[in-house]
Amino acid sequence: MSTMSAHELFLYCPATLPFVPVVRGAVHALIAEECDTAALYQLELAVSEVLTNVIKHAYKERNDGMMEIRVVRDATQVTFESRDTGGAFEERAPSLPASDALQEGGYGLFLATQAVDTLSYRRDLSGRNYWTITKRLTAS
Amino acid sequence: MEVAARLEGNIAIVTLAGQLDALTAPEARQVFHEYGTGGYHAVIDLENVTFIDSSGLASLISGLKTYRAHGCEFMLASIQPNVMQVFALTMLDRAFHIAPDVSSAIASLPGAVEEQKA
Repeated sequence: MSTMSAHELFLYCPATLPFVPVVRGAVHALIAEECDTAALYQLELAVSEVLTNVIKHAYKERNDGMMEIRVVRDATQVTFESRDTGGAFEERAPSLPASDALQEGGYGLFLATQAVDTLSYRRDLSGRNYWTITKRLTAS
Repeated sequence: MEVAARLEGNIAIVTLAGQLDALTAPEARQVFHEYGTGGYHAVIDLENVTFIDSSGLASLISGLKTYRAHGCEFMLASIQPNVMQVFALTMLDRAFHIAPDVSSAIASLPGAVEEQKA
């Protein structure tokens, strides 16, 4: 039987927008003491973008989807994993819209990739989507 | 998130507090548009906004476009350093007029300088 460490967090919650700040808050609580505020904000930003993407695009804002979240903090980094059973993400390289175009969408995954050390996506044969974020810890 | 708005002459000062994300952005967007179609300039006070993501940014871009379409200014004021990272990463700090605080934003707006000095 596996045991959880004191630096590990599991959440199984509805894939709806009110739960995005809940997850951000839980991530914040887990690592706030180990991380400077800029790096903490960057991790929360990537978490927010990934989960909002899952809710709006994978589940298309249905109310019956669920998200399974695991966050692990070790001495050097935080790993955030999200699993869902929504539609597949159409993979494309995140790019920055021109600022003078005043485009209202298209910043999310670009911001997420800029804010953390790694951001990856995969989908398994049974139709589950997996998002993984890693962020190195910097001392507060 | 908390949203409050007040008028000072031809300027709508909208004060936001909390987190501006996909959950809260629609409310902010609605307030921006209420004044954006009335011929007011806007100053958005972000001093107490602790978090903005791309959905929050989108609401501000929407506001900027609405005010510009009506020939009015849409200024941001008192952005916290962590929140400012989001503007810098997206280079939207070049698209918005950003003031260090609300009073300097108001003073820079057309028609407001004389009123302030009077």
